[in-house]
Amino acid sequence: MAEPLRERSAIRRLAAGIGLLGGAAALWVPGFASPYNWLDLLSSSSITALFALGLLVVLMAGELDISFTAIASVSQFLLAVALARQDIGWAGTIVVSALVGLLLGLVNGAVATWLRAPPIITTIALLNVYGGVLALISRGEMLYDFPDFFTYTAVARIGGYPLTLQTIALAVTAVVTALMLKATNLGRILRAVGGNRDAALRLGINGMTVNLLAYGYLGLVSGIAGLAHAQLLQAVTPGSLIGRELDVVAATILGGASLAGGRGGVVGTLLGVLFIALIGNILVLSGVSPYWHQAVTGAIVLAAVAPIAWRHARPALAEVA
Amino acid sequence: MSLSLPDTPSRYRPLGLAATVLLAGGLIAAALAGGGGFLSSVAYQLPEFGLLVLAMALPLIAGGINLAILAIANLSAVVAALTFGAVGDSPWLAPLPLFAGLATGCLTGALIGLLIAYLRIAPIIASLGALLVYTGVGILATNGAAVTGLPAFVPAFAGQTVAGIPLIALIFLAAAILVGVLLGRTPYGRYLSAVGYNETATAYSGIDTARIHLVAYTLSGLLGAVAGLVMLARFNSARMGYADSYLLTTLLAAVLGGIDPNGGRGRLLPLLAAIVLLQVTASGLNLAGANQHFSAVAWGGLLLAKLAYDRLRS
Repeated sequence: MAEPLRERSAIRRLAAGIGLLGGAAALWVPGFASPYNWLDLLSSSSITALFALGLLVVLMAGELDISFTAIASVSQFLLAVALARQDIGWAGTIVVSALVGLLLGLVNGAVATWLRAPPIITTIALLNVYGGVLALISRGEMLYDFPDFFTYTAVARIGGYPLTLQTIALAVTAVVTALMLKATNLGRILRAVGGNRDAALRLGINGMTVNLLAYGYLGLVSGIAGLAHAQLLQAVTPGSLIGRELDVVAATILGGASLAGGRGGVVGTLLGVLFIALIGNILVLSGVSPYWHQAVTGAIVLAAVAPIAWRHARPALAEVA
Repeated sequence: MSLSLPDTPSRYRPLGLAATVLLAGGLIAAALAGGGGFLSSVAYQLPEFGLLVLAMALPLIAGGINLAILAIANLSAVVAALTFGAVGDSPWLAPLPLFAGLATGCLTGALIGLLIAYLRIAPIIASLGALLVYTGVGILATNGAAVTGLPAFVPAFAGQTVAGIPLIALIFLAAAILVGVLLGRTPYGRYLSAVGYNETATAYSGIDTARIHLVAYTLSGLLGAVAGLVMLARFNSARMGYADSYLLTTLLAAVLGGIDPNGGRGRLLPLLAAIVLLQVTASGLNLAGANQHFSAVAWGGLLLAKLAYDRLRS
């Protein structure tokens, strides 16, 4: 039972890291312990966390898709265009974002599965196609001026603290993803396909269907992430999300998911995102150059993955991390 | 020990023919449209791109990928530029910055190789982590700005010609020939393909696959550094983030050039044809005033089309 062990050890180490880092920062970094800083941290990392949860499902199936930032960009652009014409309300807003994302996700799933090339190469191509078409159509112009309902920061308040759309979207996605992976047959199938694709396919599982579900889910969540991002900034700058995809991959891998598939979970993924966001937050608050963030993130991901990969390495040398 | 691999020349013939026809057509059209000035601009732009494709090709053949080639190229150029700043304008000391840049490429490439070969980290993750670290270090060292103030002989170097051919094009050609010999004429080339086809079988054949990976990524880093130095001379400056859009086009050139994205296959001549073809097309698009987003769509679409073509043939 190596899989739950690996997941639990990732969670344990991340929790310890976050505890130590947070504890030290609370003592020594002024401003860190303020609840507003935490709310800020939550809001700003919620977009990354949404992407990471969607990506987790794709990684679980042993696949990879890095075009999700472009999907989110297309979906938020179309949403902004729709909102500029008509007040479609929250329901319409969510449906438009989710549908556009789902559709592009399904396209990705079909293309990546059928081509049988490494999905990183296929989705780098798709990322450029989506991003390029978006830039051509939008001419890079920023869209703003949304209907009133879309502009409120706090959707509700709990004990005086604002409950933002980003927080709600993240909470709902986290619960849905966790339930899907842990409590449904679909989650078991995803894990099975990711754990051993050949064996799962011989059991009669349709690989294309599973991939469509996984890529489609990432697309849908990306659409919602695009919506959350547009609401947070109150503006849609085409392509402004593009370029963040590798950071999301890093956070998800840090959270215990594996490119080899079949491993990872919602808690680990969220902790992975939180850990990286925490480092950035502390660097900024303590006045250290934020330029350190990227270098530190990369080093932490490598340091986290190396011992796991090493432990799982077999003499026949299959790749693990 | 001898090791024989599936022979695949028949797969290349129609592809090679198609590439040659396209290439000839493209060159003729380009020469008609832009004249000699166009061809010379291709000759100056091609080397950095070609070197980066070679840097991407070796890991791909081994069944891996190196997402960090641009970070390595730029970091090497930054190190060389900073060293130029330290040693001053004397041409006699110029080998020092060059050596520093090339050493940076070898070391950063080798580090990725070590992670993959000995810690068994998947190439995507290893090169992604390295990409973040190298970019971060490079930005820290330069505060994200371009390093300028290079001695005058650096940009002059980029303009030098030998018998009418740009010196940097000859450097690329020399690197390409060395890679071609390595791939086609040495045991290492065969082992590299073997690792890409089936690493487990290769390991059980008694070949030290870890060393094959290590060498592949070290050479990838070295080729990236040469590309970085060429860019340093051409742009007369170094900055993290230069030419980041090359990640897609290097993959495209490698796949168009007959390298199996799943690893194993790779030969120099089709690769060279793809490099020239793409650079001619890119320069042509540039000349025609196409914007970069149009190019991104075209390159992405072309990559998908090539993968679909291969899928339909298999």
